Amino acid sequence: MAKSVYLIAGLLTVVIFAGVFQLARGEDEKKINDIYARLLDQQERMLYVTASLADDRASCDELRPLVQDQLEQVFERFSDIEKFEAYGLRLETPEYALLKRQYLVAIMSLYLTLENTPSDCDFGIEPVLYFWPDESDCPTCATMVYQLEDIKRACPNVRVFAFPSNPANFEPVQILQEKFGVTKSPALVLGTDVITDIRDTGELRARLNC
Amino acid sequence: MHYRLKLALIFGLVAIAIAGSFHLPLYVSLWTINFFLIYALVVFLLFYLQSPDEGKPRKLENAPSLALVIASYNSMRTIEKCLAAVKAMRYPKRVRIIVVDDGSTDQSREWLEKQPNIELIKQPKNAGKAHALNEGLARVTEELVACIDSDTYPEPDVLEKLVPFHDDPKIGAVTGLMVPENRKNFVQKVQFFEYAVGFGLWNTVLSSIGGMTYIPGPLTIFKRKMFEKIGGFDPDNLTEDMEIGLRIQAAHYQIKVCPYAVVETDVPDDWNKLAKQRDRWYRGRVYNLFKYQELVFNQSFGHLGFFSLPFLFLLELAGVFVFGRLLILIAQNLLDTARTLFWTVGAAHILPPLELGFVLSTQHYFLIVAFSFVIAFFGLGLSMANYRFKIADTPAILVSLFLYPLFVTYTYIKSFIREMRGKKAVWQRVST
Repeated sequence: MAKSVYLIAGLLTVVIFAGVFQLARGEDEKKINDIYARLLDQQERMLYVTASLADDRASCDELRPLVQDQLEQVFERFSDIEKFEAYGLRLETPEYALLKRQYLVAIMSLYLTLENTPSDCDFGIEPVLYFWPDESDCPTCATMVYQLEDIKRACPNVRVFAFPSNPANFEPVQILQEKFGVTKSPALVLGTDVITDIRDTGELRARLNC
Repeated sequence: MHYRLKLALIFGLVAIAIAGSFHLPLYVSLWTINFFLIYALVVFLLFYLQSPDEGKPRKLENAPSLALVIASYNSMRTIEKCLAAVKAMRYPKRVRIIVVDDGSTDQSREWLEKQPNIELIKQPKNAGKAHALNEGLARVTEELVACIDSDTYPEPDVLEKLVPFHDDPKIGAVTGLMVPENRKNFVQKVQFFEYAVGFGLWNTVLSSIGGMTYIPGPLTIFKRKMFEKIGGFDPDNLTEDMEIGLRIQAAHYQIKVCPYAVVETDVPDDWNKLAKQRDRWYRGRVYNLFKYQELVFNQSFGHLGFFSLPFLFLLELAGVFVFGRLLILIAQNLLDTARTLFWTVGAAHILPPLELGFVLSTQHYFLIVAFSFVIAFFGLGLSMANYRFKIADTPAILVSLFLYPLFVTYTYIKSFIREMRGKKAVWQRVST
């Protein structure tokens, strides 16, 4: 009988774990749906803000809190992803995909707002667009990222807006690529120039006036 | 393999496990530790349910002859109360009281010399508790002998409740529920909860399966003849009570616990003294585990070999693992916070600080379930010790549940390292 206690305890523990897992999955799905709802809401807001900016040139003072709010959104989304990755949680889950998507929407919102602000508004942010390909073996990408890190360290006002070049069902990225004539990736967009090959870091910094 | 080398190997393996766990998803470590903890507690609860009458006192029918041996060293503060409590214990026969003064330098020896109805053995110099007890045991001719600490105050019914267990010839030692005498101090309150659960529920369950890993030093009643077979206390051992507990079982005697026999004892009154006491306990525990390693996974020692000893050691190592990982997470968190501040001042790029929370509900749920089991176990232990909840005890209960395990683990790690490095240990009296 005593020996079977270990066996019964093992079975009970497995049952407890399975029950908890089922219960938690329901909770997780609810959480994912909430994130999805927030994502849709954010996408709508992004489109609304972009449309408003295109129609009605707001003043710098009016835009400043909006940019601040969008920056915070970007930080929050990035924080979520960092936490997810730092805690070694499962990266293949829909929740992680949604978090990444949410981050993408947040940085796109910020980029579009900055793009549409009057040129005399100085928010202390110099945007650089970076489109990266969906492939793991990319030496050019590695070099570009290394250069961008160097530039960011030297020029604190530079902010890199990195987008996958072919995100599923995310039209704004395609529109941006078409707008700047980006046909291959990786690609850097500095002002109106598109760079798809490795350039000297000094040259890149000169183009950014930093 | 050399003892210290074995410890170094175990220490290295735990360090590798901590480092390696950072290359695995967190949920793997979390689920493994939770599974282990929940499994062990379920085993405990099942054993508890299997023997609901375990430790219940029986009527004292035969009253074997009995002697008490009290080892005293510089115990002026406690010995008077101890002797009063010992003399107040009820027993149908005359009980012989032997006090061994272990070379005291305070006034206790002079005070003891004047006491009636005790036999005083005067050691010329301080030689340690085990040596003093052995001196006392050498004079005992009675069937049973109770070894009592000089800062221990048993309730009057302790002998009546413990002695009947010795009717069974297989039982070599019987002990009761140790609780701190003074519970006004916060540190002592925390220890009360630890003692109530540890000496109460934990030991009672282990006793029901023949898996006790030690006998409590403050008060245990032994069969005298058993000492003739296995020898006396080991004077070179840091925790002679754990050593004798394992030796008793290695000789195929059993240890029984009766949680209804309450024995009050002095406990450390500040964290520093407590840490010193625990250093001795944990070093002794590690040392004795290796001294009696032949018991581990040895079928002839049943649950002691297959559950108590390996489980206790694994539990301690799991504590070290969790503690180590937690420390690294906190360090990472601080580093990331510093990095965040730096970049926030710098400009528009930010690396946010890590928070000690998790994204997925699954993680929360498993932690909640594991904690529920711990709390249930804790509650059961307290009810067994007849504890009645008071609002004022809430902070001590919370500390016992959530912070005290960290203190215990931290002390354990320090003790393990000291033992591994072969640092000389000193037998510390706890509260004088």
